[in-house]
Formats: sequence, structure tokens, C-alpha cells
Amino acid sequence: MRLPFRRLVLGFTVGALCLTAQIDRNSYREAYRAWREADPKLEADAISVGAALSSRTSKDADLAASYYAAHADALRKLAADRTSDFEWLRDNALRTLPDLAPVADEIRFATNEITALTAGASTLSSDKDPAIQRLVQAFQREQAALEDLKTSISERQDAENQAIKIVTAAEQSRATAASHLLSLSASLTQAAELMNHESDAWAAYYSKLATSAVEQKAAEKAAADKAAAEKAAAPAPANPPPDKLDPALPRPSITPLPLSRYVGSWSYQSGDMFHGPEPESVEVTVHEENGHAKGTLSGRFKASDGTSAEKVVKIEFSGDFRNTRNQSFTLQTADGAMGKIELAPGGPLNVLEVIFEIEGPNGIPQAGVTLVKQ
Amino acid sequence: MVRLGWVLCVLAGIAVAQAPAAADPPTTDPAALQQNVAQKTQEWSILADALEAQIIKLLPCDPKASAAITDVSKASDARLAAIAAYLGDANLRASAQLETAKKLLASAMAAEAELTSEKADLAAERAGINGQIVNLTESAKDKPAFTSAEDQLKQVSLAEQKRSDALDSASSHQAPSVAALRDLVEQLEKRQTAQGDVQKAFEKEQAAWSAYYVARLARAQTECTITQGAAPRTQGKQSKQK
Repeated sequence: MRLPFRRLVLGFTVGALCLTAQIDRNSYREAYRAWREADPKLEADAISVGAALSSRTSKDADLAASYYAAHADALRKLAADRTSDFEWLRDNALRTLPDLAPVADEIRFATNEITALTAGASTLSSDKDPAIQRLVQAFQREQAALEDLKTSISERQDAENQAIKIVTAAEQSRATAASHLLSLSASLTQAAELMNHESDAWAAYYSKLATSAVEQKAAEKAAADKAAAEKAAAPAPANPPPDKLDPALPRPSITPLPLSRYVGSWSYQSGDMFHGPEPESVEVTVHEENGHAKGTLSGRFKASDGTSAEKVVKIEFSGDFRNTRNQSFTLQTADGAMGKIELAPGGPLNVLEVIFEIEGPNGIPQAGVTLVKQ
Repeated sequence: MVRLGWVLCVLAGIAVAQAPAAADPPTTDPAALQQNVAQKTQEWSILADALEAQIIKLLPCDPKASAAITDVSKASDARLAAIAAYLGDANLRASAQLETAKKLLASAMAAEAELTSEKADLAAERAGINGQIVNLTESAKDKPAFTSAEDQLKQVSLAEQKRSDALDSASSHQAPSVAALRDLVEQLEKRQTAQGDVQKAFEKEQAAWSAYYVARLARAQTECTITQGAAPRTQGKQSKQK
């Protein structure tokens, strides 16, 4: 089949328009690939890396959010196109042509005229006068013209009836198409909205995965501590005298929380919370012996005036553990300044907040830093 | 998947290529045109209804008789011209609607490919999330710390299922919308033909009305001729009858 050139040009123009009107899937597909290829071993590593997983889950959460935003945009465009098509259909209801020349009135007019002419012609038709006969012929020509007119009016009525029938069917198709496009557009809009919820659900997943990894690590540490404690508390080869308690047996904790929430090695990780001077590094160790705490804090802090100078702090502290959640001890710096330090267990098992205050001209009024167990 | 989109788009382009060139909708106001028809019809009706009563009072060769017939004939022409203008405008509008309906059909056909792509992308996503669920379940076996993360991943999967359901719903309307638009285009093509037929029928009727008024004037002239032996003089300038 050969198409006229003009139509071919139009067809390919529309085809090209159609292609450019296709939604851009490349950008969101690239975002998807970037997300999926970023950290394929994330779940496999989650059980072993502990707090270090946090930065990886954050990255994945960001990539997932980028993907969902781009894909939801593409879906919204697809929905908007359908909505626009629906709106055209909605605004273009098909109506039959108005009755511009009522057939009944026109037929009545022609019939009345024919009746009058017929009556006139029949009165004169018996008169053989040539002049009268010419008038009779004029009557007949007018009558014939009116008959033709009646025929034309009837034909026009037939054409109008046919058009009405077609418009009625077309209107039905228009209404059906509009209804389907409205539903189609609504479903696509809903799908785009659901992508926002999915994006939120992914963010929650990555956050929970990071928390789970930390909790897992803490649980392993607690289990290891417990095993070590049990090993240390193993019964002596010979039975002790019944009237004397073995000091090596596990004792009830002095503090309301397990001592493991205070005891151990703790360190500051960049990005963790602090107040007072900004820490660059902080290491804290806490030991317990017979309910007595002994510990050290070693840290480097940025100067509060914004210069590149650092303040190095070395502290030793000691004191008895008490039956309170937060434990306060006196401290002494390497150069003899005094102060106090407080250990406050955090929400997660492996977090400890340390608040300290060093007196004297070179002291620190108050500083706080959140540490993670090592 | 992408190739299918191209193929459907090219097919849609060919479908439009088989159609006549697009027409812009006319800028005229159909209501004003219809109002003009009503006004011209009323003017003609008044003159036509009064014609015979007016002529019967006149002598056969009174120039007012032929002038009265000519006036009615002109009013008839004006009425039919107003109807023709309305129909011409309606046909242009019908043509523009047809062209837009064809574009909508092409757009709906292209959307079919888009939905296919959506579903393919969703299938890939589902495979990805299922893989994650397997990985996490395997590596976190007997590790209660990961229960909440596993549960949340399942929530993601459920949310994705809802999107899948929404896309299925969209798909269920896709084919019927294409079918209805195809019907619409066919019906609008038929309507264009039918309105063209109405227009032609009106043109024929217009000629019949003109022929009737020519015959009416001829009778008046004959009546004058046979009573006076001469044709009646015309009053003022008269336009030729069609």
C-alpha cells in the first residue's frame, strides 16, 4: 500500500512525537542500578560488622530514595498524560446537530402551498384559453418545484437521522473511553503515591538493619563477657568451707544496670554526638574491682576559638560504683587539675555518654561526648 | 521491553499517517452561528407567512407583488446561507475532534508499551527484594536482633505488592480504553461522512427553495402577462434568483 507523501510525513512526525513523549525510564533505571550495585553484600555482612554498617545502610537508603523519587516522577508523568486525555474526552461530549430547519414546519409549508396551487390549477384547467393554459402551466411548474422541495427536505431529514444515530454511538464510545482513562489515570497516580510509601519503608528497613547490626554486636559482646565471667567463676577443685562465701562467685551487680554498661573500652567515632569542645578523638577505659571503679580518659579536642590548636586531655578517675544509673567519680588530670566525670549509659547497649568538668585556668568548664563500646 | 515500546509507537505513527491532516478547531462561536440561523429563519418566516395575504390584495401587475416575492426569496436565501455557515463550522469542528481522537488513540497505544515496561521493571524489583529477604534470612538465622529488620523488609515487599496491584488495575483498563478510542475514531469518521451528507442535502434543499421562488415569481409574471399583456415592472433593484 502506498501512502501519500504528506500522510507519511505526518505519520512519522507523530511516531517521532510518540517516541519523545515516552517517559524517560533511563534516569530511574540508572538510579536503580546504582542502588542495587552499591552494596550487594550488605545483608550478608550485617551480622558481623556492627556499628560500621550504619554508613553503608545510610548510603543505600539515599540511593533507594533517589531511585523511588525518579521512578515515581516517571509514573506521575504517565498518569498525567492519561489524565490530560481523559480531560479532553470529558470536555468534548458529542452532541447531535441542532434542529436548524424543522422538517415538519417546512413540509407543512410546502404541502399547504401545493394544496392551494392544486385548487387553483383545477379551477382553471378546464378553460381552453391559451393565456389561461399558460397560467395553468405556471401553476404546475410551481407545484413541481414544491414537490422537489418536499423531496429535498425528506432527503435532508434522512441524512440528519443517520447523523443522529452515528453521534449517539460515538458518544457512547467517548463516554466509555473517558471512564476507562479516568480509572487508568487514577490507578497510575495511586501507583506513584505507593512508591512514596515504599521509599519510606526502605528507609525504615535500612535504619532497622543498622540498629540490628549494633544490637547483634552488643549481644555477642555481652555473651562473651558472660562466658568469661562464668569461666572465672568456675568452682575450685576442692569444695570451699560451707561457712565462707567464695569471693570469685558471681556477685549481684552494685549498679541498677549491668556493670558491662560502664566497664570496658569506649571510643568516640566521628559524627557521634557531643557538647562543649568538638572532639577529634576520645578513648575511655573503665575497670571494676570489688565495686570500685578506676578509669582513664584520653582525648584531643579542637580549640573553642576555631584556631587549629588542639587541646589534649589526659584524665584518671576513680571511685565506688553506686546504685544509680549514672555514675560520678572524681578525676585528676596529668598536670594535677581536679574535676569530676559522669558515666551515663545510652539507649543502645553499646553506647555510653561521658560528661566531665576540669577545674582551673586551663580546665574545661563542661564537655560531653557519646562513645561506642569497642 | 524497550523494543516493544518502539514497535508500538511506530505502529501508532502509521495509524495516524493513514488519517487526514490534522485540522485546528474553528475559532467561531457556534452559539452565535445558531443564533444567526434562528434570526434569519424568523425573518423569512414572517415574510413567507404574510406573502399570499399581501399579494392577494394587489393587482396582478402591481410591482409590489413581484417585489414581495423577491423579498421572501432573499430572506429564504439568507436563512439557508446561515444554516450552511453553521454546518460548515460544525464540520470543521467534527474534523478537529476526529484528529484529536486519533492522537488519543495513538497515545493510548503507546501507553500499552509503557505499562509493559512498568511491569517488567516491577518484576526486576521484586526479584531484587526477594533476593534481599533470602540473604538476610540466611545470614541472620537464629539472630533475634535482626527480626525487626526482617519484618520491615517484608513490609517493603507488601508495599511493593500494593503497587503491583495498582498497576494490574491500570492494565485492566488499558485494552478497553484502546478499544473504546478505536470505536470512537471509527464513529467520528462516520459522523464526518454523515455530517457531510447533511450539508450536501441542505445544499440541494437550498437549490430547491430557490427554484420554488423562481417558479413563484414566474407565476406572478404570467398572471400579469395574461391580464395586461405585459410583464410587471420590477420595483427597485432585484438580485437574480438562483
